[in-house]
Amino acid sequence: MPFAAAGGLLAISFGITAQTAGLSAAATVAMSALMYAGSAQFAAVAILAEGGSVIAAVIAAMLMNARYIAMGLAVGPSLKGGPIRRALEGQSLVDASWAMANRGNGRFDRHTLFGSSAPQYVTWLAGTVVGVIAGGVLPDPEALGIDAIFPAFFLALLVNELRSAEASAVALGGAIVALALGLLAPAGVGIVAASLIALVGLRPRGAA
Amino acid sequence: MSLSEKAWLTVALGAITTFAIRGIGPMATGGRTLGRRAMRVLALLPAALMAALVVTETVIQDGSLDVDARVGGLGAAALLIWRRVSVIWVVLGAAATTAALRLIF
Repeated sequence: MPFAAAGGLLAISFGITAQTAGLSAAATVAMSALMYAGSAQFAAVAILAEGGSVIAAVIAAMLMNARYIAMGLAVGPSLKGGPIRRALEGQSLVDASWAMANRGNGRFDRHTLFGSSAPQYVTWLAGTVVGVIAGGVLPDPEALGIDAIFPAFFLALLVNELRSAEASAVALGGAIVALALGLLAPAGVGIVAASLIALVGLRPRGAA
Repeated sequence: MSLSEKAWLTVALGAITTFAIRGIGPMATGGRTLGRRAMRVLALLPAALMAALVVTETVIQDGSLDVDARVGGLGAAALLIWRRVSVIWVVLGAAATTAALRLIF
């Protein structure tokens, strides 16, 4: 499973990044155990590291996670039981599992979803612990290029999202907004504002 | 508020909101679903956010522009993605390139 392994590497870099940002080992591991959402965790820690507020960090994390609403609506009918049971089963939603469980006919294989998410959870948690330990031991993580792992992983995920000209334009717009506001506004504002570019999805279709 | 307090508050609020966001879609699908336009916005959200994160984490440091070895690492990642290499090698290639550039310059 390449994604469980790559997720482990990402988790190691998350543990090191959080240590470098000054978070305690316990808070870092608790974040991975309770959130299990790489992009949201990196976004939150990046904002805290730059002196941003808790509100900015949590909003950025929520926006990073907002895609799970769409993914959850898609997968919901394939899950079992009443609303509460389905909500609990929905906790297994992560990007790579969701994509692998997608049968392409509007249905999802829930066993594939669970079977793919479980090992990813294990490598995510174990990787975070390794990263936290390494972050305390390594004199200079940046000399190893650790800080390049996160943007590289998300570049790979981003490329998967560029399925249409519209998505590519939205990505370009988001990058420009994040770059401009990253230089002008308090930490985190640029990432939150970039999400507004996705509102172009509201415009009526068929005219273009 | 100290960084430790801010971190734990972020962990608590992050855990609650993530749980709710993961649960709401499956919970709602028993009844009504979001409109097509809302779904389209949600579908475009990852592209905007991931592009924003890639840019901020590559060239911005403490609120100012900082073009360093990470840009070279990301270039190597782009090349490996284009060559359809597994994501493990993409992240390792990016880290190795960044490390090598820092060693040289």
